[in-house]
Amino acid sequence: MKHFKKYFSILMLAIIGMSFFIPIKADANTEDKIYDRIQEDGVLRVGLSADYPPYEFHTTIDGKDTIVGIDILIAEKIAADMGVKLKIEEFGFDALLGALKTGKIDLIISGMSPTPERLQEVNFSDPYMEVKQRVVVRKGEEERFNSVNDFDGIKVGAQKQTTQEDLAKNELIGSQVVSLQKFTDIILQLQNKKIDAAVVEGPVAEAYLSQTEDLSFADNVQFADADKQTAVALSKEAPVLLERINETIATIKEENLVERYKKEASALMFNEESFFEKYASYFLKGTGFTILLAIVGVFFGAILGAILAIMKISANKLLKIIATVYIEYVRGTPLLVQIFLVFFGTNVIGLDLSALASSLIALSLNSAAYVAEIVRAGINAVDVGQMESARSLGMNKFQAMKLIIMPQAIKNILPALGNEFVTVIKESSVVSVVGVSELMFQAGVVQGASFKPFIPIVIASIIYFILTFGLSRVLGVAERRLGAND
Amino acid sequence: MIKVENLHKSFDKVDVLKGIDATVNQGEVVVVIGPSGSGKSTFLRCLNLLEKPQQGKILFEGKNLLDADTNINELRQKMGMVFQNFNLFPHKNVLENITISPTQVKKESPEKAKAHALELLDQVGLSDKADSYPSQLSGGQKQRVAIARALAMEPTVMLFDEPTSALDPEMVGEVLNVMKSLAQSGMTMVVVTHEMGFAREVADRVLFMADGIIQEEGAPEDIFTAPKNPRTQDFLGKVL
Repeated sequence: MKHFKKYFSILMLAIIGMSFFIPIKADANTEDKIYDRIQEDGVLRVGLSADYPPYEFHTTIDGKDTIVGIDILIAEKIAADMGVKLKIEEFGFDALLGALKTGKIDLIISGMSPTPERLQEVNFSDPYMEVKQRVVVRKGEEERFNSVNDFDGIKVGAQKQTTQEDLAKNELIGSQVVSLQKFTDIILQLQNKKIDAAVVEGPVAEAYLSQTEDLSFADNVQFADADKQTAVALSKEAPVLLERINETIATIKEENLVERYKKEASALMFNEESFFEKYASYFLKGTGFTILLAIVGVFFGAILGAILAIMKISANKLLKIIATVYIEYVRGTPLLVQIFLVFFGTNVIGLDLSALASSLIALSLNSAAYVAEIVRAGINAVDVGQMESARSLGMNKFQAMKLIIMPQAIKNILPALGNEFVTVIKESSVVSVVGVSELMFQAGVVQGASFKPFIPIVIASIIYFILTFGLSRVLGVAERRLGAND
Repeated sequence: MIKVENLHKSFDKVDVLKGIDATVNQGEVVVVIGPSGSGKSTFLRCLNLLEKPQQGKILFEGKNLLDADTNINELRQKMGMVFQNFNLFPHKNVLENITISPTQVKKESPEKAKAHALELLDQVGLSDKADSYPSQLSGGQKQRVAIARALAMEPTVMLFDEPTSALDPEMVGEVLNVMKSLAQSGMTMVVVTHEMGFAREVADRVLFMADGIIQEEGAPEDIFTAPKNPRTQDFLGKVL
């Protein structure tokens, strides 16, 4: 018994001793590297998808393109309370969570609601807004939709990966949900009768409907779970940051700042300048970036492609295999996937590249595979007798390549390289997903800001056509000149 | 000067050369004749390793070309080659075609190379074509430029691979004349050809090839007037 008592007291001591360590461990949990880094750099990086007025959208202020909206004002308030500068990073809505998880941004403030799926990946702050979800239909068709039971077989649009998409799937019985990338796509499809209804967030829908004559709310349709909360998303490993954000949100609620922000945003949404006055600069900027992407992509693609082509025709088996695998892999996967691979992949290996840099790299790497085949075909098209006669004159392989084969191959390669340039101009539109402000991205921005979903796409298509058709003509002339020397 | 021993060459299991033994002496003109597919072009192309034989020896100026440490680029400079299809460089004019290898490979000065090239063009009768491009020349002219180009490297032996087979009949003569005067100047030559008249008139020795081996060899008068091998008799009966 005595022994037992002794052991018992030792055990108790051990437990007491351990209990000293537990709180210490809990303290270590409040360590927040992300918060420390923000304080150190003095910059808070907030990601959003700026095609979602009144939350976030582009407008021209004093001739300068600016992202404005409720979420921006909230982000500014959070940054100000933390005493750091705010940096806005634009992404497609789909790419936001990936960007947050790979550390490209610190927060997402983009009208995002906490869902169980998202909560598995990231943390959310307290909600800063509660919003109603509403059903939008074409004017005159409101009668058709009186309850959630009237949607059997009806195509209902919603933005991909959003609360609205879940609502449309779960509550509109029998509906066929059409998930679209951008909000403006939904409006466009609804207007063009591709879909017959859409689930849209209240403030967003109100803003659009005040600008379009042909759409209307179907307010008889009531969702059971219609009130959604909007919150700030952040990493799970940032407890201090979460605390600071929640403090700011508490202030915002206390002072009812959201109402003020809404008014401020609405005032910016509708000003009276003409469409072209307001948005010409967006298209110009976008065209500039598109041309830059194509030039850099083809330039580095050509250098890398030539190296790959030489590897592929070399006698060294290893080089040959490397080049072949690379070329086949790149040609066999979509550019979109490659862009995500580069953009997020560089983060995984510890490089923080901007969206533009990632896109330039991805386009160059992609183009290289196609150029390699162009170069290889160009070299192969030179008669084998040329190599034989060069070698029989005592030239080594390198001299023969440089002096005899390449100058002739160039004439085969240049026209095809021109076509590759045209292709890259068109393909570069894909990089809009990571937020590079090229032409397609800017068209999306104008769609969001102007409440005109169709016109910006038409304008973008015309600009693309002018670029590619003009270039083809120029290349045609150059090709004839080159041919004239033979 | 060239000594070939037991040379074998096959393409994808098809045996083209089945053990060739041959000698070419300094200053000698050796003409190789034989039916199509007999392997005579392959034999010639093996001599400067445009084709790599699988077995055998090619001794050139005492060195075996098939030894791993032989610098083939250096040896090829001493062996001029003329092709059936000329293989002039289309992006270079006639003068550049001739001077490119002397200046780039032998590092001759451009002035010296040019002077030499003009001399050679005079020799083949094409002084006025120095600035023309290959596409502006007739077949016979192209082949004469090709001969001048090969000579510009100052080779010790010239290899001709059916040099007149791609020519229109009226141009054959001008090329053969250039080759004849080259032979008279004492150049060592190995010529694969179907021009029996040329073989008879210019050759010091004629090799008759069929089925990947040399069936018969000898002085042209012996081969053409009194062939011993029935294959030779049969072939000459058809072409003469």
